[in-house]
Amino acid sequence: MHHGGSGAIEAVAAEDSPVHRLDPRVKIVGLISLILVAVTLPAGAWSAFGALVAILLGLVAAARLSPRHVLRRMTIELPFLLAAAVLPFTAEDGVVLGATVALKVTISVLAMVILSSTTPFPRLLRGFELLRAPQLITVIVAFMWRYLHVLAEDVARMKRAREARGYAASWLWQAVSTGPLIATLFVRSLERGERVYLAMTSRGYAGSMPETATGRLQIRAADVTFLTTLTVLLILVVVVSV
Amino acid sequence: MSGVPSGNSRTPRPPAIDLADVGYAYPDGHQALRGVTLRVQAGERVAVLGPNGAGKSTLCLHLNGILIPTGGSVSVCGLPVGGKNLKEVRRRIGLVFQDPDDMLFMPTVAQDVAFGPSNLGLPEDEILARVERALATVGMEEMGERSPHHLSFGQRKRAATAAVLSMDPEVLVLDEPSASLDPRARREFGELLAGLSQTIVVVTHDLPYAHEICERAVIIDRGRIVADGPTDEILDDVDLLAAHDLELPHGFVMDHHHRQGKRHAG
Repeated sequence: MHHGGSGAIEAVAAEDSPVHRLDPRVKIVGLISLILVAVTLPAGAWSAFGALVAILLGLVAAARLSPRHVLRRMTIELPFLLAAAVLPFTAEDGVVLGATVALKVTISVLAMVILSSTTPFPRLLRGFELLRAPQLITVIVAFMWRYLHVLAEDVARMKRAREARGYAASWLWQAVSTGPLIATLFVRSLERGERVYLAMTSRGYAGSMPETATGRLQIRAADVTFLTTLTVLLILVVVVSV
Repeated sequence: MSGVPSGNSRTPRPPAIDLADVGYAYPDGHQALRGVTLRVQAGERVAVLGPNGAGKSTLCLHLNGILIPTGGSVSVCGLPVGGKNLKEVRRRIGLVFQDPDDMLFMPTVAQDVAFGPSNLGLPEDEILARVERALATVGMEEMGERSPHHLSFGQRKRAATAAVLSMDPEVLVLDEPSASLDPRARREFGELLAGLSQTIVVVTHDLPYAHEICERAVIIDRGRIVADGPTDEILDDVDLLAAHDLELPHGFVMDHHHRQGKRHAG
């Protein structure tokens, strides 16, 4: 139940705010549109980038997300920023290019952080499903998400068992002896997979996932307002930048 | 392999479970079942007792056609298990696995409970009604939108049971239902089972639990049924238990009026 990263984001996603309450579908469509606009803007369109950042910061505020949480989640973009930081030294007009790339990455990541921090994972998945995302992918992601938690518990137990037998190695030796732990985990997961499949078969699974009847979603007035406002703003951003 | 017992004409309904001389060898050659003959009437509650490795879980997997016997035959509610009957057999037999994490694979409990009925191709309203009913039966109507990893082990066990009940099975087969449950969850789960109207088969080596839930018990050892009778009598026979690596907890006194929700088949 307490697995650091994913636990933290789940707790935040389970809170309540006008943004949390939006239908996952309008959040997905709206934020992905915003990302599409961001990545297609020409280099140096500063005011347009500024407008997009302002929209996102507005959403962060409306969602009552703590800056600390957002910043911590944003660290995932660091490798991309490093890549962008090299541009000024290698490309012609590198400073403008580097800053543009950095902004595009930042806007995209911030949009995804808002989406994932305001939408509990099952609802997010349901949103993608209803938007007709390929079922194979949504099902794989659903399984990953569900069993990552189970695996994390397995790992924690195995580590505890190791430590209970007096295991306290240096980090180097720990790195080496992680091999057998991963091997054991792999075998366990295979067995688990087999049992999960048996259990699914026992409940009538015959090779294709049925449509889910639960988790019905309904577009409300607030959703329409959100999507319309965002669309108008995005069109303005595009028009102004060309 | 021809020792199919003759039909019992007293019963108006076909037996819920009818195993006739069932043998099963795993692909690696291990003979897990050797001529198991067991008949469970509709409405009965039967405990299948036996030490680890006796063939209990293998037996469970035969009841809904996950494993097909290498000898003998299995029928469920009059339907021979296999071929075109498999879908119907799997609807009628609800298998509750030992580890609820093997069963609850969907992002939310409600979605998981809906999985079985969805596979049956029921209309949406009927599915939702069944989900609601199944969750209410296990006392989890408030937790449909929770994710399994946010539930306690006992709650997951009940959710997994709901996931089977939503298929409206006639027989509930539970593999080690009391394993890993703390005393309170164990008692609550026993009460839940006592309140159900289905035929129940409990596979376990938890003898007091078997005594609480089931009026009839069979002992399986090395792939064979070695005893079959009222649970009270089976558990009273200390020598029989000892011969098959089963033991009542020290100090356990059998209370013959203790069984919960004792009902009559019908």
